[in-house]
Amino acid sequence: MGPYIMGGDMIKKVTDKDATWNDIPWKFEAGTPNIAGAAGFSAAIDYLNAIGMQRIEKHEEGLTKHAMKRLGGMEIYGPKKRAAIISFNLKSIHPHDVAYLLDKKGIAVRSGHHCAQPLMNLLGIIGTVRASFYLYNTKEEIDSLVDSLKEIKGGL
Amino acid sequence: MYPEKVMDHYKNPRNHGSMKNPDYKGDFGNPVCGDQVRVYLKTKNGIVSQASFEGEGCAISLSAASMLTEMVIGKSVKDLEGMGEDDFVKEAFGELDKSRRDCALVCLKAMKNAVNEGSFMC
Repeated sequence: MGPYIMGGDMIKKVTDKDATWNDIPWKFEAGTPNIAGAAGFSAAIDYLNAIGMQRIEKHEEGLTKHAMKRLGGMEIYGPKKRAAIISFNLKSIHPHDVAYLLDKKGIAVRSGHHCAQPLMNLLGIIGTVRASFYLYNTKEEIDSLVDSLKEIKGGL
Repeated sequence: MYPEKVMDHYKNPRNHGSMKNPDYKGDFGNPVCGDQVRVYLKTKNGIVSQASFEGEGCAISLSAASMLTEMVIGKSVKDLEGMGEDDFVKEAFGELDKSRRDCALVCLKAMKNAVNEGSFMC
């Protein structure tokens, strides 16, 4: 198999007639490698290990439980037991309106069909709003999300 | 929330509903967000005498469609063909975030499809 992309390090010898390819992996790793990406990845691993995966999981579980309780009045999709990601809708309000208005309040969510159009068809909806939580989120932020959703529900 | 004018057209859409025997009918949909708008036009001597729309979408796309139907009445079909995207967005919304521009343009594209495809039976 020849190289799939041209660049530095993927050749051994080049003449005006032909070329021979370098050994694997260099043959497939033409050009400057993603050095910043590797350094960032290493720092991220150190950061997460210092906190501890179990503590992170527990924090996420706590946030998800709190969010599921507070989002009670919304249309929520998916199982009750879940990771820290929740798809929902405010009845009759387009998910893009909800996401846009949340964005204006500094709350970032995703909206739309989430690259899952067949599932949206099955559910009979055009899309959902999707909020996800992680290590750096707090219960107060979830409360702020819920307050903003109530405001949007009342205003639109 | 959205500006008052947008909310007004979203909550009380003008010229909403299908039209019997339109002279022009055009559809446009944005599969990315599911917005879908159909525009109907009736003309007298080349001038739009009636306009209506139906469809579903977000507040921006539906309020835009409502505003568009008000704007086109009294204009010639030729005017509609020449109606620019920037001019429409500016007249309807004044300022509009770039991220919502496509929402606003669904109805305009439906109207363009209507006049470009010409008069046809529905």
